[in-house]
Amino acid sequence: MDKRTLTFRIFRHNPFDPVSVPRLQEFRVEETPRMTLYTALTRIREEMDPSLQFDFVCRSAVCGSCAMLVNGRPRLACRTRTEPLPDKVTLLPLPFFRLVGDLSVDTGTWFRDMGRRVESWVHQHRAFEPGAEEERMSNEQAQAIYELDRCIECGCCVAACGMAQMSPDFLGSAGMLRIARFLVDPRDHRPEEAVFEVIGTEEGVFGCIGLLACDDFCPKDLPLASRLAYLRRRLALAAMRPSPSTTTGPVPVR
Amino acid sequence: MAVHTLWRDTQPSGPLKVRLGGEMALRNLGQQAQPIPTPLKLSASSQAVSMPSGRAWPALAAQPGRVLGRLELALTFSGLGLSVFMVMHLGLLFSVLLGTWAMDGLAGFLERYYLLHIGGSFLLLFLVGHVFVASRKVPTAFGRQRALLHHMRSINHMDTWTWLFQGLSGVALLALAAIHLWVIATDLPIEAAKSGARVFQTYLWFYVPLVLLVEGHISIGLARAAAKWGLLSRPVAHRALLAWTAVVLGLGFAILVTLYRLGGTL
Ligand code: HEM
Ligand code: FES
Repeated sequence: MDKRTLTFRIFRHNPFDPVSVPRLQEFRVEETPRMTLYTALTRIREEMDPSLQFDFVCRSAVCGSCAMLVNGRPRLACRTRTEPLPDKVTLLPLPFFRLVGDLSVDTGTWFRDMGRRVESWVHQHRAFEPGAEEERMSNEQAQAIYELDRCIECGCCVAACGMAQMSPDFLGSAGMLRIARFLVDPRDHRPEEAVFEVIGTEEGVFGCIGLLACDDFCPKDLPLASRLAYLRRRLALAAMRPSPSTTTGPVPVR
Repeated sequence: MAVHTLWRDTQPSGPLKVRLGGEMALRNLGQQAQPIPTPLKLSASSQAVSMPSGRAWPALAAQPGRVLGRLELALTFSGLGLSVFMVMHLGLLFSVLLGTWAMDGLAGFLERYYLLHIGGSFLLLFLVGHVFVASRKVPTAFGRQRALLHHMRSINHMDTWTWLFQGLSGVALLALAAIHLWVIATDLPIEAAKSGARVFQTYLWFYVPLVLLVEGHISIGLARAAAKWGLLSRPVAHRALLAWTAVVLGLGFAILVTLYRLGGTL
């Protein structure tokens, strides 16, 4: 097969530079066997323009730092091969997140904030006893937690979500998944109302309109659609029960 | 142009300002800023009504969520109710394929026992309820619509496009259904010959889009509802509804052709 020359149209802008104007810049790169966008971008930075900003750490779909819009769709650049792509590829930074420069966005701040909003830590209403033996957890339970803990926080789901583009406060399915992760954790004792207060809102599951692009574009194939459905069922059922009384204290989740 | 739009969308108000900072999140939770608690802060006194963060969870805080949850159920049940009505409606019209006598007989039966009136009242109730709860989901502000359209064109994702159809067809149906209901209700009783004459004379080009829009709206709506409540996986839901759509559209157009012919022979 003939070698292709790929044309990359890459978003360039430095928001910290007052004279910088957002624009698309073209780079031509000869395709090599098994080339990924990571390889191509590195070639561009090393051989053509050292000022090009983009993020990489692991190069193997583990760290979640390289997500960007490839021809309009969110993908991890490090695991996107150039081979199935057309000759012209447009690379844009992920929408929704704060732009750091060129293709680099700050997903960390949003995810940290999301973690705070959903209180992404184990809630117990018992005092910690340092001397007590650790409680055991079945292998299935541990695996169920792990399955929902595989999120690499790349931001593809939020960038793929139509609702998130309209409402910056939307928790996104990453946030919903995080709550779902604590609901399967037997160590977590947050009361049903706590779950309700955080995601039983228009920024949570009841704001979701079910486009489910999050599920289709998650590079880790997390069960986003099924967990969203689970939370929706659970919260809707809870909404049909009479409201809990204030005097009895926390209602255990299960 | 597109670049500027994108830039504006990704750019917060000031370059160094941290978007969605903790402050905003805590406003969402109706709370004042508090440090993230560590397990060491747990105390036995937090047992009663508060979480380790020292926060009380008043039951009242759950109220808006309860209403939203019920609205969410109401959306699906009203959509489902309307779909059931449309199936019965299809049943009535299907009878014309057997002959005018069948449709006239069935319509007469429904009218004699006031089933038509009961069905019509339910339809109105469900329609108004459905519009009420569904419109909550539709972006009405220009900025939101623009952001959504920009996103739809960029991501080019099927279930995202179908939602646009869902919203637009819903709004169109509101108008078309109102006209249709008025025309029928002011020209009772229902008779095959009258329907045929209507289709033949003026209403063919009213009914063709109506049939297409209703069928599309129901199919996509049911598939979406099944997926969003987790009743069916999306591939299964898509296939089931595609098959259903083919059958209903086939029947719908067979009925329209029959009525049109009937109108032509009068
Ligand atoms: C014959 C009449 C109609 C039928 C059978 C019908 C059926 C349905 C169904 C089954 C759904 C899915 C519900 C869900 O997602 O839970 C739906 C959703 C929707 N309907 Fe209708 N509908 C009808 C008329 C209308 C009208 C008149 C409007 C006008 C505003 C409308 C607007 C919507 C919207 C915007 C949605 C999407 C809601 C969402 O994404 O969550 N529908 N409809
Ligand atoms: S570089 Fe780590 S996920 Fe792509």
